[in-house]
Amino acid sequence: MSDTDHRWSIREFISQEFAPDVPPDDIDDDHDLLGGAVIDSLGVYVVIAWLKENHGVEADEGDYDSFRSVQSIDDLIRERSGKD
Amino acid sequence: MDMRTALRAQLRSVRRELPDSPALIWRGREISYGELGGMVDEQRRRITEQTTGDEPLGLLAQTSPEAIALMLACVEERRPFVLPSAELPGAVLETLFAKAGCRYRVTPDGGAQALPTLEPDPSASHVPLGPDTVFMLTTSGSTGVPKVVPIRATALVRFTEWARKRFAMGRETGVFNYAPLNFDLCLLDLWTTLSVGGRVTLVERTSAGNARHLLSLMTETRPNLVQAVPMFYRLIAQVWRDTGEQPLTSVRSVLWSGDSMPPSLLRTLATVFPSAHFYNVYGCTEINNAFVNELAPSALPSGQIPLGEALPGVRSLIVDGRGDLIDGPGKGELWVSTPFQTSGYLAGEGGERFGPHHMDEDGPVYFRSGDLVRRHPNGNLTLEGRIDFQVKVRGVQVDTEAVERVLQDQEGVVEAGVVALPEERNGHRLCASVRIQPEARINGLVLRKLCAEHLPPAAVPSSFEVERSSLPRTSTGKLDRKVLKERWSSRV
Repeated sequence: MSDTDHRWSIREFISQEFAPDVPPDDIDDDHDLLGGAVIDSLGVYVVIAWLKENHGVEADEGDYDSFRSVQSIDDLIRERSGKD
Repeated sequence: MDMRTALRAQLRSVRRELPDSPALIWRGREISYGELGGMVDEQRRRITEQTTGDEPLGLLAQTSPEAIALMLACVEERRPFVLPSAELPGAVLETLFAKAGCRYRVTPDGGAQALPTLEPDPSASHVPLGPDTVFMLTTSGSTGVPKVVPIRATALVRFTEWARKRFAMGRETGVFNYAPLNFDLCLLDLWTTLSVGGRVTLVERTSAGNARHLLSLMTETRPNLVQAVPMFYRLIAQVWRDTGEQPLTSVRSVLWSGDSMPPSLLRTLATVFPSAHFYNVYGCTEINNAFVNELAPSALPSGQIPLGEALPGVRSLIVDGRGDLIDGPGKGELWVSTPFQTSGYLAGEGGERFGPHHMDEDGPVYFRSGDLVRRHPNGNLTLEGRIDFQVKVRGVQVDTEAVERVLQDQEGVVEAGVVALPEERNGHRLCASVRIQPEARINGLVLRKLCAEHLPPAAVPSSFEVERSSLPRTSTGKLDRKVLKERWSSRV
């Protein structure tokens, strides 16, 4: 999977799950999803489950900061899945 | 002996008599009363060295042994403190601490930091803090800045006496504390347990949404009493089914409050906690507990759970829209007077919510709860909604008018309507309909960020619609939230 594909799928997921009123393309790679209340404290667990199911990536609450932006989630996926 | 001294004496004698008994369970480790006492002494040292004066201290803390030690240290030092939600945005915390007259912000790890003195607001009525005040909690206000609720030592001592007897709490009692430190549920979870020498299992806030962790924590630490909002029990029930359904037999008392408990969930809880009785608790920060409905597992109600019995010393009225008493069956606002209530919000604001009923001027001071209740022909009371814009989201009180105000303050926003749809998981889901100027570059991301900066996390709407056309109006020209609610409901 190429870089662009990860971020596309992440934006799609964030939009569908947390902000259906915002088209995926309107989410900037570095928009603060945590500080900007897109992903709330329970939403973190939805992200963790999605990472596991869709990307085979194991994560927990300790990875909180990695959920901060589309870019940081992409970095996490690439780091943990060994895919490029 | 005044009540504040009595409270200190009570806490001290427990530490003296039970130095080796576990007081807290934190991150898999027991912390004894002796060790906790040492932590309290350390926090006391910091307070004396790093602060002066006797104004309330502004505490910023999440659940931890050090945070609890800090709270106890303030009691020992006779320094009242304000304990807001640690999740409030910085700007709101600043305003809140200033409102309470705090000159220092204190954290369990960082000590005391001097706060800039704001110009006193000449329009604010200065109602002095009672000498009996131990600490101050907060409750949501319609402006977005929470109202401050002083808790008196008299109230705390009376409450711990009631809770101790009602739930047979003593040295052997283990309590599972789920509520954040600033919830008044902690009056039972922490204050009562520690005053009788029991042990408290603490939940670290970063793991509070992790159902597996919560269940294994209860399994390992074997509490006898659990108190939480219904959302917690839903999390537990779900993961319990997935992990072998081991009954939690140590639990004798399951308490919930703050939201309605679905009958189906209650039935499941009877199998999760087979040795327990169930308690529907009604109360709020201003009055603490007022009604308790004890339910035996053999007699679980299948519909809405009534409020139950009034606590000793509690008086209540049901008042209609004109202010007249409703005797007998009917629906109106519940006014409550409890032995544990605050004497009023800080700075005298919201004073109209406290007072005797006009037909009984010499009677007790009632708190107008804002809850609509129905008295049934058999005398049962059931909750029927609110008379204002407050709703519970994840057990946290949210004022939807406050959310609307924040949205409307944003440049480019013409008007906003926020409605609450009932939702199984969180109690309510906030949906915001926002009308913007044609040229404004505002979307749901901008609005969510705006809310995050001015409101507690639970008050940020989960759904937004951003329009340039006008929002629905009633025939009298007011925003028609009923239509908005219907619009949102039909989308789900």
